[in-house]
Amino acid sequence: MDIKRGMRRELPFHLMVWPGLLAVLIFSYVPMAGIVIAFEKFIPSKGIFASKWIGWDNFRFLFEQPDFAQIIRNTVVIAVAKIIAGLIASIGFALLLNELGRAFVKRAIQTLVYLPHFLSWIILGGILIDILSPSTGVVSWALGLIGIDVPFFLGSSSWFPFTLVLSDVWKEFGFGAIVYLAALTSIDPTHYEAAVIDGANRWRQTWHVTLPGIAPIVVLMVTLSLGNVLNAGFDQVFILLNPSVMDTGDIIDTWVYRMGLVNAQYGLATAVGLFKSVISTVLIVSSFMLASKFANYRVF
Amino acid sequence: MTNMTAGKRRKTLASLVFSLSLVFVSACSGNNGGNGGGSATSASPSASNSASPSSSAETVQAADPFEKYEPPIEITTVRSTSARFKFLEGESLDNNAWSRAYENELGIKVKNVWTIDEAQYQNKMNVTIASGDLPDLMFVSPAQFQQLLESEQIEDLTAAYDRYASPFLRKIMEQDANGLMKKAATIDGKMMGITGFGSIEQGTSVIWLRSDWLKEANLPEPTTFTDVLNIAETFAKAHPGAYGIGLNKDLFGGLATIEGIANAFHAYPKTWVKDASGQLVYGSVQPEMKQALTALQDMYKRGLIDKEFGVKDGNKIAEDIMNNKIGLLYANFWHPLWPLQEAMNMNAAGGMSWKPYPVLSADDQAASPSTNIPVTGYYVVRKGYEHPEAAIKLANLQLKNAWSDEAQAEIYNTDKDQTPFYLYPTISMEPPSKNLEAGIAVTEAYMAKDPSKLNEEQKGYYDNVVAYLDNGDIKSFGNALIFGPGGSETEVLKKYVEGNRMKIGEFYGAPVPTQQMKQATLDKLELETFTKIVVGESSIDEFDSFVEKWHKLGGEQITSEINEWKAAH
Amino acid sequence: MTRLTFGRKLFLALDYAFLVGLAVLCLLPLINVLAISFSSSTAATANLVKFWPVDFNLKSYDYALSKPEFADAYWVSFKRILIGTPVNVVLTMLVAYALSKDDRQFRWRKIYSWAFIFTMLFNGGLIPWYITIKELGLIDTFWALVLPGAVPVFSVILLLNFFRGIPKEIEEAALIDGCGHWRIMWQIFLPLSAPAIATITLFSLVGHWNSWFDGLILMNKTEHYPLQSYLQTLVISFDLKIMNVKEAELLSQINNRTLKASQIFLAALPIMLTYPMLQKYFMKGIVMGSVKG
Repeated sequence: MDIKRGMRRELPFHLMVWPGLLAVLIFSYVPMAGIVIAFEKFIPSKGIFASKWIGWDNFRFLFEQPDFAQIIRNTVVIAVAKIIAGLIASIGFALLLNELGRAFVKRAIQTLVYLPHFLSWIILGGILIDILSPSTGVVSWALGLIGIDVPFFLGSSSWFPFTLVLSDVWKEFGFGAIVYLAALTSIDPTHYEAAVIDGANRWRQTWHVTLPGIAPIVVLMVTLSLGNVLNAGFDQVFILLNPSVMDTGDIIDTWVYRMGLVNAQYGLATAVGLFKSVISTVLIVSSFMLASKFANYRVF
Repeated sequence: MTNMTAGKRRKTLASLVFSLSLVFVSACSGNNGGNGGGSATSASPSASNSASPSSSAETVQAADPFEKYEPPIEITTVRSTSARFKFLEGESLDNNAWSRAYENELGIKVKNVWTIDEAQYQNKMNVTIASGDLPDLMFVSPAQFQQLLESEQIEDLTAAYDRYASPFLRKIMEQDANGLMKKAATIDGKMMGITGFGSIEQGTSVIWLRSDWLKEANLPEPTTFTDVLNIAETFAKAHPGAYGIGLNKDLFGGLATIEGIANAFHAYPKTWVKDASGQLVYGSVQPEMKQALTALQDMYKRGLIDKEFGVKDGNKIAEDIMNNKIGLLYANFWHPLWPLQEAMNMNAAGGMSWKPYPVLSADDQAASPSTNIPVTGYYVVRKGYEHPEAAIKLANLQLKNAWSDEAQAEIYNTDKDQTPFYLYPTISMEPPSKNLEAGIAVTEAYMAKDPSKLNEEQKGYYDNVVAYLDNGDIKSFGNALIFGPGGSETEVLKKYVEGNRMKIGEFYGAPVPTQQMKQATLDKLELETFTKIVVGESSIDEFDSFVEKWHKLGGEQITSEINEWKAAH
Repeated sequence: MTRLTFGRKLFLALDYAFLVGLAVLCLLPLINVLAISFSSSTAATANLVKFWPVDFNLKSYDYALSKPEFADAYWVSFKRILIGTPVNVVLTMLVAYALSKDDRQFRWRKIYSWAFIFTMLFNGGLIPWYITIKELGLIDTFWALVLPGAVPVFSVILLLNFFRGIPKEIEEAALIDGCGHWRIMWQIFLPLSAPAIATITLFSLVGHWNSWFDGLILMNKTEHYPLQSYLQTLVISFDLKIMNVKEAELLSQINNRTLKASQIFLAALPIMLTYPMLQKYFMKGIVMGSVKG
């Protein structure tokens, strides 16, 4: 009896979930069976279930690459730097914007900074190469005015990752801030009122109301971005990569791409994808457990 | 109690997922063998008149290459398209002069199951093959050709070819280009496809240099590589902001490459050439390459090469050319069309002019330009299609209507508005040397002021030459500098071909097994090492350790596999 | 008091200056691209265009707009967001609402959650995805553009967190009043999470509008292409190494750079304007206090 009433009470929830779950079962889970490709020498004409099974060979091949350590390191360094810098930029921007009063200016700025998201790297790559050219670029000219010796941003191994991260942050911070702006608007105004009554100035309000108010979303975004530590941004790196900076700029995805040029390497590509997925899952599950154990916060 | 019910629920979920995957498996079991693209199985082709009556396999009686199917048959295919495709009012890929010719002259209805932009063609082709949906006829890359052969999904065309190939088709496949086209498509004595082929000389390096700058500097035309260096240095000094020789970041690839410079030292990078013992070896790891790299390193140090070449791709090189920063570069025969044309549009008024030269040598032995055998892919027929000879007939018709003496070029090739009819045919072939022939014919016609012997396409080029040379029409510069007197075809390519000077890479098959695994890594190593040497980051002796590494990391294995392939071909 | 106001004033001044500067920095490349789209091909290839068109002309826009396929593609994309975005938003809301409940209230919650999350982490790649869609008979149909991405799991997680931020008392009060969960979701949660809903709507709009790869691979006929897929076909993606004479000829006729530039504006303009329209939802605060615990 108790179970029945419980089920009746929960029925609406199940009913709400199932349409979405069905879509996901059909379009995400069924194709997932194709992950077996990672363990095959996959030939399109043979199909998924008749290609030769080679077990871990694709993975072994990946790990035995002479530059495997280098690619992994580059990927993680670039991806993590982008995540951290991106978060700081987006959150910082959202907080700074939140302080402004003039609605029109606020909206204008908000719109303008989210526009670079819509430019493709094919176009931006060309622009970057231009403005960063040590001889003719505008950035170099500006730095020269202050008397700084201009490095070859895109042509030197030591500067290349930095350039990648900075330009990517510039492109995406506006779009990334949308979530935080939404979070800021959702903070209950009465909390601010209470703080003001208690005599808090804007800094203390930020510390005691704003930051805690968006903390859940920040934790959420951090957790989810952990799933991206192996995605350093193929489109951008592909356009800007050149032989002089391979040792710090070559990432997993560009490497897989080059493999695929010689011969469509679906088995290898799927293996790499699986490898990335496993790492992401481990990281996300760990942070989920950490958040729930130590902060008593369920991320999802 | 809750645990038990939870457990039971988990089981239900698991079995649900499992049964779903079963559905998936059974749905996919029809993968092999292809389901056939829905070709209409109409009555067999009229066998009345031309069928060989005897069953002896020796004398295959030739049948009419243009025999029409009564009733008409259908053939499905897929196409890669691009922004180049333009149609007349009301026409489309399914409805144009060619589709009508196929239907009216051959009784073949061509059905395009899908068309896609050429950038995604490989992807779409792969998913199509993987999902078991092979069309009757398709154009595949050498690698896909290999795979389809292995999985036995393509039809043997030998009998169809022997019976139905027109004389023109036979000539192209068996005589032109040393019969390479037929050879490339023949596996174990069976012809498994129709080869897609370019021209051998199209990939050779040509020196393009600013003849106006040369005149200004009062220098003679270059005849040796040392001359080239001198000219480059003079150019750089005389024109602030300019550097002597253009170079793109990939070092190879067509525009502003090091290939011609390597050729000056008799090195043939990125090609598989015969060494003294007759074995095929990889050009980039031969000792001559070291000399070439030394020269390049020196050139960079002297400032003859752009200090920032490492980040510049073809588009940036085009910019530099247009902004008068490059006076000399190694490129291909067709680059007058782009970017030199754009450069002329901008700078012709200021006196810009260009002239092509063959690759020049650094010593007293003439330089040979390197090039590769241009197999672009294969037209194949899926196994089980009832009318494999239809493919042969499509090729026959295309050659007849576009290239033979009966050709009606204004309908089938291009008209005065440059509508690209030549893009429409399902199977598209052209005589490998058509560009060279055009260059020779057009130049002759111009000299004699008599265009009567030219075909439509050549007449178009002739008009360009007249417009540019006689009337100063800058827009016609491109074709004029290719096909006209003093153009790349007659000045350079003709010399290459008639002097038999080209060093032709001999490997044209699908990547060998070790290449599939290691080529990308080896290429990366090669490019990195060469770049570092050129900019002076590494000493020239790095080359020797590179060669060692190259062999160890798979190069040796690849070399032996390629020689195995050579022995079988 | 005066000191605080001065400090605050200084901060605000710096803040404005900094943010306006940032906005200008973001605007500049766009102006450059816009200028290129109106310039002549020669000027564009030579990279002479900075912030003002050189040899102003409308050729690249003309080229893109003149083809009938452009109107077709626009219509397909429009239909796609007309149908696809509501599908996304409704499904997201339903799932997020159910998953935002406590484990006690909804005992299978955790399993469902992980079932969704898992799909964000693992996938089988292009070929299995294509085969699945093909087996469902969706290839070359409009629904192939809408159904496969029907549930954006990222948005679900986002929304469920926002839902959790809504005080429990409101829901409890409504339940006591006899409201069913459906009404609670539509009439109470929806207005209270306007910023979040606006966010996921924006994400869905941008996602559908900008996607081009699925259109190219899943459609067989060019008439079925959505806008961005069609625009991809306008731009020549050539391999400089294996071009032949005819292709080079075309390259000189159609300038890639100006085309690519106009491509951005033709496609992105509607979306760029959508954000300002949705912005008012980001500005609104929550009107609480209507229901006391």
